[in-house]
Amino acid sequence: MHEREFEHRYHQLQKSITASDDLKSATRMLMREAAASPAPDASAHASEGAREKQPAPRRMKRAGLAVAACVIALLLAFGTLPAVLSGNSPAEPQFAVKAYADALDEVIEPNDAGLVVFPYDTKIGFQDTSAEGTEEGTYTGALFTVEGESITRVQATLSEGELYRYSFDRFTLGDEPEKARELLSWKPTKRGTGTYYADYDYVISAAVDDDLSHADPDKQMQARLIKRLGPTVDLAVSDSEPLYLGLWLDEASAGAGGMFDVSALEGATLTVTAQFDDGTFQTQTIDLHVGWFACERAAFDEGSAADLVPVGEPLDEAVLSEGADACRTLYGITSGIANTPHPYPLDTANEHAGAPVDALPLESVLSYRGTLEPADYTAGDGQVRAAGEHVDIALAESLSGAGEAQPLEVGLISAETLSTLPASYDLRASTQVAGMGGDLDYFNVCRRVTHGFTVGEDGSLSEEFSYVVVRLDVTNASGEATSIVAQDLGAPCALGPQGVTFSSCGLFAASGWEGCEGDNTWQTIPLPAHETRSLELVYIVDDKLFEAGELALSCPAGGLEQDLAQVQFLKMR
Amino acid sequence: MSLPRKNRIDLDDVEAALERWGDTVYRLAVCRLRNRADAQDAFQDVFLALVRTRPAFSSREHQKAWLLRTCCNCCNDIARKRMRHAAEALDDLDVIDPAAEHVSDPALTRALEALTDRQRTAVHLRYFEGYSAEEIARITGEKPATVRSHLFRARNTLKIKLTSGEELPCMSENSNTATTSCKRA
Repeated sequence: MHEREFEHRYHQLQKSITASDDLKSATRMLMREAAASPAPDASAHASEGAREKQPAPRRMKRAGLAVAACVIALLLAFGTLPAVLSGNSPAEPQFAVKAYADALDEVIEPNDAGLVVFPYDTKIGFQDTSAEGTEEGTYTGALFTVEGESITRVQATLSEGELYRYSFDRFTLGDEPEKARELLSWKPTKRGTGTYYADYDYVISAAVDDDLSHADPDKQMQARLIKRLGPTVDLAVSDSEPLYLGLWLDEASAGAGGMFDVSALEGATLTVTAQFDDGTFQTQTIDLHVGWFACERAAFDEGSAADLVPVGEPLDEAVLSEGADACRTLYGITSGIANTPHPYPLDTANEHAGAPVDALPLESVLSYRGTLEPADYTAGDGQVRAAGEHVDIALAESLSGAGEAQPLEVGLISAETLSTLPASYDLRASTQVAGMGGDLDYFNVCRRVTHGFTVGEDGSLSEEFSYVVVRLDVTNASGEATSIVAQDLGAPCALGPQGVTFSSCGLFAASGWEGCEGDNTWQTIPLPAHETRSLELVYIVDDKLFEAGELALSCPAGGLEQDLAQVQFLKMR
Repeated sequence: MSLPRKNRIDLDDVEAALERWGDTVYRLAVCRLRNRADAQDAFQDVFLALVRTRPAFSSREHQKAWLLRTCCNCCNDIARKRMRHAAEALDDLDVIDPAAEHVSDPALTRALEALTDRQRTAVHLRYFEGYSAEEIARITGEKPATVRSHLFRARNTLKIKLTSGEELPCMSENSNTATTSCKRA
């Protein structure tokens, strides 16, 4: 079953589950009684301390949001509280620190109240897990840039947390297919590897809404690139590469309210220095605060999470009208401007720039599964067919179909065991490796962990593993067109005196959809009513399977997870 | 900065939360406990906790996340009690029967039964509530890597192939990939 189909079916299933009116009424009564009773013992409520740190609840209208997240905006006020730094005369601002709205791909100009409003795209705020899976931090998604004439370098220091660089890489699929593959297959376990994105902590692929299919050579690709740099950064800037910096919080500083709680930045200072091409400097100090703001609904499309935009100036919570749109956000006030160099040491600037954080170890997400699954089950005589016979199966119970049973007739034409992949298969394009962006090295790293085998460039296999190539005829026995998932059709197994032993290595390649209409993949095969397709399925199996009994194909596939009494076994020899 | 605490519970707020998130909380309780009576107990415990603890929320989503987190805790408490009284309670459990008429997808319901409570919770929060692994971890009190492991094993058990077509186990840890969109190139 594909993920999207599962999601749809799960939604349908869950929508039928609701709390009854009786339950709600009874609960309301209990709540009223509890509210009328004396305050409970504080020791009974662990959240007491957290309550002290945050404002009281405020009703806010936030209906119909596509993305579940609160909105944070970074507001920077310029000139409202100018001050003198280091004994210099008050200086006129020669550059501006402006928030960057990723959802709009635009720098936001100040509003009528003199504030720069930064709609916050919650999709680019996320939490990080260290290589050990223990230390976490939060990339808040609150981004800013520096604008001014003749700036050659920017230095910045955040007093709480750290700064990360946020940049883009945009290209056309047809121009750089290898880069596209690396982008689409990037993951924290591959951090530090690859040709194009090895230097980044996070690489996020974003689909550009250009109405082109994912395979169209003109498809525009976009990589969002993130590199945490440290509390202080010192970076060259140029017109060709705009500088965007984000605010990062470590685990200890991350708010109790989740990844978008930036309470820890209340009272923090962001110090930004611009160095100009004539060798002069200007430093601006921005005090960061968290406060309540009235909000307007953003006119962004539904794909954006920037749903509420703070407007005006910070408000006393008490004056917020009941039911009004409001949000608790981060904002900044420029408290000092001086024509001086950066006041903090730069010798430790960009301290994390040299290398990405450690890759997430595969073992944290993968584990050895074994290659054989012995079942305490012996196939009955009625379940076993000789090579060349046909069996009737239905795939609905294996969750492969769209809810309706798919009556299929399966006949095994031939089967053979090989030590190398049939020449008709392109290792990187028509096998499981294609599902990993054609990255054979990464495929092998994963398979070594999960099953203990690797595949060579020439298709050769690790010792003690073999390919089993099965050729089948599959007939759609129903009067309606259907589509079948190749790997659900069957799986190698051994019928032995101790019972059935299944192979757990899975389907490695399949072919046979040539000539079918529709958008096919190597796994999904459309099958018109009453039509027969000849398919070739290639499995990788542990050689120990051959010693466990007579080789057979269990139809449908499913191993121990299905009702074995419903399985048909087609002997391969 | 500490703010003065309200002296009285604002029942309007709490009852509005019940209306807004009641079904959300109940679904998670059913998902976690697979037993209606226990789920109803958990439901009431969650909203009573809301009345008694008066947490402050920065947004409705924050409120929702708090309710779901509290629901997980209440379910854990109930599950522990259930374990203690397992022998006497087995016959009385109002176990949700996937074959019953009101279950719209018995096959899927049966498949979900094969998951552990924590795997089912992760699947629910991911596929129905739309949370990322990191957000789920906040709600369930687990490490994100643990949540990813739950999701990975659940997908494996349910034979879910990721929509992107990419290999399952190695895709699962990158919740950021292919989920974003932008308006222009």
